[in-house]
Amino acid sequence: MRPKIEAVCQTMAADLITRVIPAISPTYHQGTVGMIASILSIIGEEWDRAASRRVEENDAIRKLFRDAVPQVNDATFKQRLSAMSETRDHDLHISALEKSNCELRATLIELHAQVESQPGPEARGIEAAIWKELRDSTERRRLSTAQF
Amino acid sequence: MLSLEKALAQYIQLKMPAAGQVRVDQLEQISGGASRQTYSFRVSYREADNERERRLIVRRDPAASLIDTDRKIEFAAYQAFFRTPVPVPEVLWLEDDPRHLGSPFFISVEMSGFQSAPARMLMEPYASHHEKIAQQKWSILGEIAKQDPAQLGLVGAMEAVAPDQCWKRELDYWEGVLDSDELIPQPIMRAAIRWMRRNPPPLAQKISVVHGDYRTGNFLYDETGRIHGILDWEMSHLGDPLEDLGWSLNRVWCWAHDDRRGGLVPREQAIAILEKASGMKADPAALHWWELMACVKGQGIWVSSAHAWETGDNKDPILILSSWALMNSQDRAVLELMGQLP
Repeated sequence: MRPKIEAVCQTMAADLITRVIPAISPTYHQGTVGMIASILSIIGEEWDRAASRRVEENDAIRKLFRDAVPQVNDATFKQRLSAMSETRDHDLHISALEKSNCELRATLIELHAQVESQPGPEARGIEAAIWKELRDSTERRRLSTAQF
Repeated sequence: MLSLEKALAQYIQLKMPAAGQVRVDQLEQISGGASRQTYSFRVSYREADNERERRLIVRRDPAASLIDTDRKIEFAAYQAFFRTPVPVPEVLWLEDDPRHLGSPFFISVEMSGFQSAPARMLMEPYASHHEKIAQQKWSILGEIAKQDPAQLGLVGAMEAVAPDQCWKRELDYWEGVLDSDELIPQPIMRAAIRWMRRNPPPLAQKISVVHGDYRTGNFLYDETGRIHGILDWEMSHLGDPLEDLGWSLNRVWCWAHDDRRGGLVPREQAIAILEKASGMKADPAALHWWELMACVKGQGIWVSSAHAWETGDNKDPILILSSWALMNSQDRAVLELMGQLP
């Protein structure tokens, strides 16, 4: 779509803040419009990266699962982890990517809890890799307007 | 159906039978916390042959809110702290009967002419007074911690908790919120919760009133940097006073986009002010735990706001914005506290 969606969202957000808000009252409604402008701005920022960050993250978690499989003791979980590591994102709709992302992250929680309770350098290695991925995940999602 | 102005006038007339010709006007919705609809208004009446007027605030329960809270506890907290070193507005009437205004509510005296918005505090003339505001902000928090809940009359109004159970009650509650309301899995919060259960904090050094949402944005200040009122006691309860300190230091309140907590002063300075004012020591390990608790609680609120918007009738944009804008920052705050950020 042209003009680009992110530019449209950012421009409309700026219009709301600079032209609409000063022209309306009461203050409460100014606040509401300000929040809508901020939401538009977030949509604009998120638009372009929405698919790529999910694909990148899903692949990173699958790789983590592949690496972790040899260290998992529970046979059922091991099988599930292995199966999930072999999945692929064929449907690139955001809704489909989000669904697989949620499934992968839910399983990542299970894996993280398991390796935390295991001794040994291999478990610590997987744990460190999980923390790295969690750190990367917050960088992928980070907004330019975030306080932190 | 009566307009809100007329319904308020009728209600105030009931509460002030000696007053005549009660009228309500200048009704305006204002931002007043996330969990209630808040309106400012003027009430005029005749009393002993004199015309009188007051500016009041009504806080009414909405259909669904960001935070599920008990207005009786909020009302009791305002009553308890009125005319103490903790500045709060005077509350007048608490009403549970929804017939009057459509839902339960309470009415308080308006403290007019002050600011509360964090963004405003970053601008002049307020920006020149950050040290002064911080000094009062964390000193008042010290005063809250110093007050005896029994002497305040809040022991019956707020649920009792043993010093060794403060942490568990809060963690159980907010983990439960994540369990029931999360729309997407929260691996960082879940890791934090597991760590917190393995490493509980020491006994609370005392049981005090915990404001529950003590942060920049929930107090009124003027252009000389003086704080006039502490607001939004809707999550107040009895507990470990370090809970409020941890919440006030939460990274998501770093409004100036730097390390200054509450957009005001560095973390260590805020802690020092609180310690001096309260006479307490903020044990570093215990405070670290409560700062993590603040992250879990924060995420619980952002998650439940997203849940409320998606599943309920309340489509207020604050439910979206708080969720979208703060969830990732809250995750990063956990990473920082757990030593996982470079």
